[in-house]
Amino acid sequence: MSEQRQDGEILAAHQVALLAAMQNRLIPSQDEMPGAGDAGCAQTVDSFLKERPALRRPILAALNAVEAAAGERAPAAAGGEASPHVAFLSLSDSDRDAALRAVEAAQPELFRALLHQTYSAYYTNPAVLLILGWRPPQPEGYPTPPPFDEALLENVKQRGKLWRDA
Amino acid sequence: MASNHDAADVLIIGAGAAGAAAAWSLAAGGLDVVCLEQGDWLDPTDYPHHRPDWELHRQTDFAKDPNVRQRPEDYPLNNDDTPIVPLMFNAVGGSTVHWSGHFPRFRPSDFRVKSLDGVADDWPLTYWDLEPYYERNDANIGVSGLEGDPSGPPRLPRQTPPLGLDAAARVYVRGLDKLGWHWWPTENALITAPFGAGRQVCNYCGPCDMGCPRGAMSSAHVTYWPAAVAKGARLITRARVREITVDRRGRASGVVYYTAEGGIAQQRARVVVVACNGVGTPRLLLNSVSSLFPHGLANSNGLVGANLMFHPIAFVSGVFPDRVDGHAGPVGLLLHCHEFYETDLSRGFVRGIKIQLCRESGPLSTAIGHFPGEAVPWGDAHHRVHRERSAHMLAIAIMVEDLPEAHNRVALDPTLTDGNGIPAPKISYTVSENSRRALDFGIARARELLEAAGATEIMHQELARNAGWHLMGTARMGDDPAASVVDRFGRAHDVPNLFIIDGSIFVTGAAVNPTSTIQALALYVSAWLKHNLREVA
Repeated sequence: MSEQRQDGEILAAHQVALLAAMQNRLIPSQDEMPGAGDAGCAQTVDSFLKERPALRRPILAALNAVEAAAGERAPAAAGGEASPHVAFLSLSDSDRDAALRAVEAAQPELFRALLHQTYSAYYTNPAVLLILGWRPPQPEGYPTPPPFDEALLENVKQRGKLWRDA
Repeated sequence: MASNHDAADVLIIGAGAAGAAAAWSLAAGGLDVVCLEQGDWLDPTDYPHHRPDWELHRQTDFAKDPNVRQRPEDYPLNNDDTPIVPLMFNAVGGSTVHWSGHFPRFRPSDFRVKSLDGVADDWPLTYWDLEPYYERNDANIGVSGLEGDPSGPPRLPRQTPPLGLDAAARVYVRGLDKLGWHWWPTENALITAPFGAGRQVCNYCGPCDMGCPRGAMSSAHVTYWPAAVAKGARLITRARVREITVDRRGRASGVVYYTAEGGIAQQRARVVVVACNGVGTPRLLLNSVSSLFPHGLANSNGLVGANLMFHPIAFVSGVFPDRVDGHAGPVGLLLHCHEFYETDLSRGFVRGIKIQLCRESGPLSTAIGHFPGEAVPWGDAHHRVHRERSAHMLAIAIMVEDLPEAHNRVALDPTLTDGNGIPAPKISYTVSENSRRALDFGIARARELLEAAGATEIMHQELARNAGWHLMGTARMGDDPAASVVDRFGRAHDVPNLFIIDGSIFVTGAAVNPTSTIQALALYVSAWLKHNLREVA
């Protein structure tokens, strides 16, 4: 599922595939946890971009910046006009991480937007939440603790008045 | 222009904490009350708490920052010149729709900072003037907590018991008792036992900051508004006031407002009460320009908008080896520590700090580092660190008293407007040296506390940007008309039938959450107005 082929609402198919590949490095697959790209977070971020136009510029800029950083590491694979966005996909995992780190250092605001939206997509994904054991806060809520035990406050009470008359 | 030629006795602008309390008080006193609110009633089933993506709504339709939320009823703010962003909600209930519900009272010393500490100004009233109204307000809305806290004056038994001690609280108590510091269960605008019609008690679901679908939070739309409407108050929603109008004698005559459909309407009144919060109120007054008031209404001395105070906040988070389940319970409510509340100049600053012992939220909050300001790292370490922090982390809020400074202000932006073309506010604010030193002192104390409580990793953010919950001081109260906007009864010095009842009229801000004091003041002003209506109107 790591190769995304369909256009999103805002992102083109190749951008969805690129974003998913980046997301699989931001939150990699490990044990029972899926990678963020594999979990469909590129499509989720695409839906964020549709709903919140203000996110489009930073996310698209982040995609381009990471791809450009990848191009420096794999010049032979750098995408021309005919086949854009292939440099990152051509790299090994460690080189993908190096490209991401380069953008994180050089353009922290853009990188933070990419990371924040990826985390937002991943940790609101029903399948991920199921694995982690999270459910919505309502309707069950959480257990009510036993009534407050006032004896715990004896030491505080013994100190007497802590406020000033005025 | 649609016009209501029947002048109301009292027109209230804004249906939040203050406007709701005043509407109830005045309507119960037999007055004809009309309230205009730019937002609408929220449907509790629209709250996100039942949805898997509930945490995402903190970034979208339930964001605290109106610039992010961008509902049609919100107005934009120019925040380019402030490190703290004003937060608010525009709906029936106002910002009590999405608050933490922390409900402390100011201390007596908070009203006397000039006399006691030689800074800022004293209020023209005292804690003891407000005390009966604090009690009345608590009884009206339902407060949970425990009387007997030695860090403040005695009070009547709380309406419902304090929150119980869960795993998170036990961790904090361990540290607090080791250090020998003051602590006490928080006073909360939240019910832990049956109170009031149609309300369910808190079931510890957690995210109070996105609204309470059970009506457990004692928010203005579940407490005062049903009671006010039952007493005959008329609440008109989706009504955005453009300006307060004046007659030839310089008295407020009513308002012009935009209806939900975009039409312009007029509402006349014998008395106008402004309750639009510490940003919305100066904005409205500055937008109410006339030949008699060329610089804005009630602004002859230029103080409308000046002296903006926030509570600068730093968050300090600790990670614990055992589960503390910080998500399981009201996010902001647990314990408070007032060990450092009163002035001690040896600490390097004047006035004090509150240490608020909070919880955490869900897995997304942990991942992005909502409280610590530090995200879980990406890459191969991600899952391990997320596991270490999720349900293992607690956040402390350090809240400091911000003293009034004239250059911190709300003005009108020259170009930015809301959806009706009304000029939007521009915020200019800097954190003072005194506030910075207080924050740094508090961060050091919170680190000490978390260490004593057994935290294995401690992180902090020096100043939380999205933390301008408390908007105060921009139409200050005082006896001297040259140095204040309203008198001790909230009455504008310049306009005898204009009153202001929100946080704008605070002279100083204390170091505790303001809503309890805002509502007590609203009841205090309303009581005076009821007794003096003939003279005022």
